[in-house]
Amino acid sequence: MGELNWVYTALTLLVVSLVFYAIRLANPRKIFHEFAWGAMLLSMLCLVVSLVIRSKTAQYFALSNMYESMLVVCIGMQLAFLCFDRWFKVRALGFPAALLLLGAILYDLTLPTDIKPLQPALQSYWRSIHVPIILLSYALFTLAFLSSVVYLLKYYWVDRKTEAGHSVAARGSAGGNLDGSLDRLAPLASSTPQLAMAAAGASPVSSIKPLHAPLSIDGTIAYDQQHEHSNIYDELTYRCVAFGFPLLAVGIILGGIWANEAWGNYWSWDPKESMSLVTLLGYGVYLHMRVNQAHHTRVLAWVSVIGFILMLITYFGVNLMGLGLHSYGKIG
Amino acid sequence: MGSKSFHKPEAAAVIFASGRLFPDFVLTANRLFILMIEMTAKASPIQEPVGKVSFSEGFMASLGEMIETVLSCFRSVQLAIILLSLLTIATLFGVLMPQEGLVELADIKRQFGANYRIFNAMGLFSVYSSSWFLTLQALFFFNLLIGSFKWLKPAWLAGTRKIYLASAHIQASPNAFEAILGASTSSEASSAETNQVQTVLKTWLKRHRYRLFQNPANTSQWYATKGSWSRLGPHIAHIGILLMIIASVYGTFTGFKAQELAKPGDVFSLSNQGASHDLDFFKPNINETYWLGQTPDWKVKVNDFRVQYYPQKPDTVQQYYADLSVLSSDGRELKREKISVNHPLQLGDLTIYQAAYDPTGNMLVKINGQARKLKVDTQFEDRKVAMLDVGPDATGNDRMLIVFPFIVQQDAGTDANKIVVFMKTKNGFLGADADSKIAKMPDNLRLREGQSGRLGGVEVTFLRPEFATGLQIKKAPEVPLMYLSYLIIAVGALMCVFSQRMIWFSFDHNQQAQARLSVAYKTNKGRLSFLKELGTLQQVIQKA
Repeated sequence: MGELNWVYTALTLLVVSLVFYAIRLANPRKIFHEFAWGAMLLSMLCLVVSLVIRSKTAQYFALSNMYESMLVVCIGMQLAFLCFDRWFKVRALGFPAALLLLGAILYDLTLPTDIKPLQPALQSYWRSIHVPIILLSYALFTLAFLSSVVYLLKYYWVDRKTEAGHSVAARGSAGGNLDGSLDRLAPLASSTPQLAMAAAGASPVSSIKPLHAPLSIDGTIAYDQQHEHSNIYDELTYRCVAFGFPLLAVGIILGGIWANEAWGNYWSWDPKESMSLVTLLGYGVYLHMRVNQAHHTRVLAWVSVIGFILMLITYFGVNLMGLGLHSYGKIG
Repeated sequence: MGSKSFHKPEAAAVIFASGRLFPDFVLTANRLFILMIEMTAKASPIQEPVGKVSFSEGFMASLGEMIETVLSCFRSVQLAIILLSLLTIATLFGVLMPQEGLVELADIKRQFGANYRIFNAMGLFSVYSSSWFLTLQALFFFNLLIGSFKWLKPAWLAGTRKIYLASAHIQASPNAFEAILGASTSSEASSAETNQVQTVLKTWLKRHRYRLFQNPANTSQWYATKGSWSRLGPHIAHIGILLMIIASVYGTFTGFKAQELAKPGDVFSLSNQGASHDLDFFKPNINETYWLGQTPDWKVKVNDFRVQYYPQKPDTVQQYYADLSVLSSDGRELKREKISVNHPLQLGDLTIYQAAYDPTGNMLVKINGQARKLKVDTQFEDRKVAMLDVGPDATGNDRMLIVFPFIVQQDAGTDANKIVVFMKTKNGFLGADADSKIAKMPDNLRLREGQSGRLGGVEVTFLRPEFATGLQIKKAPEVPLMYLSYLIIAVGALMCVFSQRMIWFSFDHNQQAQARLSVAYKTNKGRLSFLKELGTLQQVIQKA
């Protein structure tokens, strides 16, 4: 089977995943989630196979043009999503993630797919290190964006009416202040124990009760309840950015070392370089605002959305302009 | 906005409209503003000295307070957020506006017309070297410098300090739960129940890689933590950034860049001292007045230079190879290396890169087995050609070879480097039919690289066109320091992914004299996974 047929198979499986995630939005039965997750996993494996076949044909790691890079972003996004979905079991994210992936792969198929010989500057092992790391960070930022959008939708449509549990990032959560002092553990407003777990068998433990947790901590964190709390999406956004940010930083650094070997300059203020710095700084603002603990999670979600727009300009905008030294990914 | 702290809230409100977002920063900045007003007032001759404090004492006290306020302003996270946001916007300007060096100045002037002067005065066409961008960077540097060291100690303490909490404190915590360890109120039974739970807890904590500490003063208070080292991640990354900026400044004052286009066989000097300066381009990284670097007293010899094409696609360059020797001033060979793109020559802090190439106008051929270099310097109709006298034939007729070169990426439509060779005698072109009314192509050879052919008794082999190599020469003494800073940033950034988790346990009895375990928990990130882990902790306590 040719590499493109594997992409079409991946696309079909993605549609299957999308359908099951859509069903799951309305029906919280676990089986639908498992089907959706499984189809997404198979879809990712198909894309991996396609990339491997392409790499064998090209006789180099197929990551040298826009088509190939988008394929890697999709794989990265699927991988990150599968991990986070397994971990957090967030209900509302599967459908938009599958939908976005579907759009991305369909768009990717409109790009030129011909294999071209590598130009001298790209013949370096750094290409196989610098590019995938950056693309994986893009995948994580895309997931952070989706999570922020779901958060904002939930916030404006559902949670704002109840406003409970929202306020400031990490405040009321399991701590988060920089200096590690115990301020957050200090005063108690009211203590209304709600959860009492029945003692099991001859256990000497007769009951466990949360004194007042922001989220229930009965071990399941109420993932599958009808009204998932939007704080979960805020947390997911944060985790994605927390993973993506160091990856982008390391990717840019490795790019600098490569540029120093290839062009004799680790930083040239080339449009792609500058835009990647803009993206990094943007997400740096997000992380510092998070640490600062003075900002509403809604503000942070908007900052994450802005970060994603900056990332899009870095990834597509500069390529569309075809400017500067990083013109390999030029579309068309 | 906490206006009770302001002496002049109205003035402050006008200055800092962003106060709602950054309350602490605004407080500090306003304090600075007020101090400045107070200092001015003290320095004013109309103002009477207050009480017994002399003018100089009052001024010095205010100055001290002002320095402290400036420092506290510089170490605030809010300032970091503001500076990062401004740097983001400034860099974005650099991407969106055409920058000198990347775009021709004439094009920029044409594009912006009358507005050019205004935008140029604002530095928008050279954002990255503009004074306001450098000022932002400098402010960011000081924010990092002061901020990193201010937060380092608390982070270190948070990671290393052992804190024990009493039940009352845990009970008051917003992140806590309690477990009643059995219904028994007899001290013996409840002691056995407590021991059982403690054993289970120790196993659980060990399995989850927590370090457990018991309060020496009260063994019923435990503190368990893991990932405390991750607290230092941001600080290590910040120190790395500081080092990177220092390395960059060091490189600016000591490094240089140079370029040279050289043919195989050429020797050129790297020195820019006096008459021996023969580089095509040489520029220190900073204005020569402030430059502290030196150029090495070395020469570079280009032994050979070749352009290699993909065998299946002879119009696409696969790689450029330059065989270089670095010679000392007395002609001794210090290093010889075949460089290519991505594989520069390194000697000390000097690096020579393969950067460009250019046809020299010479064709390397073999005529009857003898290597020759043909100079393409004769105009033939609308093209430049090489001409070579190959002597008379058997009949004494003088023969001349006319060689037309075709080079990929130089001549449109050329799919591979080749030459087309004609022979001319006194009767005209060999094989041309002068009498025929139909134009006929004279006899010729079309040879690609490595191909041979025979024309009028002469054997011609086309070896390759000769190219000059475009070399970039760079001295960058800061590279080791720069790479070290990269390593530190990368390590710090990756450490930031991890979180510190802390759990406090306290065993006591409630009002009904039942054994009770109170648990408080805290993490600096990764809240949900921590809560999941705590869920399993609750389960094991319950099963105990």
